[in-house]
Amino acid sequence: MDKLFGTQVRTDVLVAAGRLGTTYVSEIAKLLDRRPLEVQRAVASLELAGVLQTRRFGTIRTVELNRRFPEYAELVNLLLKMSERTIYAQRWKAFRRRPRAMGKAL
Amino acid sequence: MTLRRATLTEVAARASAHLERAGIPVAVVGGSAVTIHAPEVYASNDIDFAAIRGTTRRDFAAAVAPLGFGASGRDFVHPESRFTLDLVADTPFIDQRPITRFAKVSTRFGQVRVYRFEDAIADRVAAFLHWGDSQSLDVAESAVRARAGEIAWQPIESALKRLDATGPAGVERLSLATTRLRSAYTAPMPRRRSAVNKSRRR
Repeated sequence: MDKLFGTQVRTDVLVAAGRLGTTYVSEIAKLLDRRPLEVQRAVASLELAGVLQTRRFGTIRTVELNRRFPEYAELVNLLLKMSERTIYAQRWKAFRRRPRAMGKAL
Repeated sequence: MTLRRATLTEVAARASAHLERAGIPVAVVGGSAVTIHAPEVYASNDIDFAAIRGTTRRDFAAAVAPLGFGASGRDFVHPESRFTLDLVADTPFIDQRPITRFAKVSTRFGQVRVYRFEDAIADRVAAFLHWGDSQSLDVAESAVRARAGEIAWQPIESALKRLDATGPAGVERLSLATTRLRSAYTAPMPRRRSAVNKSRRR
């Protein structure tokens, strides 16, 4: 299962993208405790495969699952289920993603 | 009466009373609403108030000033309390649904309006649906588990069904959230009394 999508890092990146929705390379890298370059390479290859899509907003390139991927709904379901596995579940727990107004302490 | 040892619910009640007297009815919303319903599972340090008939920041500040709260950035802080106040909205909304009915929790400082339990849970789940915030889902799950012996599942399910799942992967996320909450409901922790029930027994 670890290399279901080719390599461990590709699998991890896809699971993270499925769990987080719209994200970006450095967020995925921090979350997975991996080097940004590794994540960047995985994102690039998954984008070539048509599973991920990226877009540039100012200085940030966002990463998300490609909603035009034919099996998008099935893929999201699978990735969300995988994201509940113990090896991943702990990673989301300490990661705040809801908005925080400017000037408010975390 | 000092706020030094007051809980979040008590501070909220005290501030609510002052605001009410100033003609500004408020309700506690957001994460602090979960803290009021299930203090043992989530400890928020800021109290998010929605002024349900609207107000200005200036009027809000004037109403809580006699209690000792002063503006600090966008929050209102008190020298004796670790809890800060924040005016976040007028009519509170969960997705596109305006919330107009609230629970009332009694404390030694009076009553405070707060999201009903099911709305507080739906609000947390909405954060998971729209922002992929897993912490919010964890909090909702823990709160449901903690209160499972005292609440019904149907209102929670109803509130979840009214969430907007039209966003990317919304249906799949809502399904995952509902499954987790349902499991938490059917496998609760040992029963503990909630703040609401404690107040009712007094």
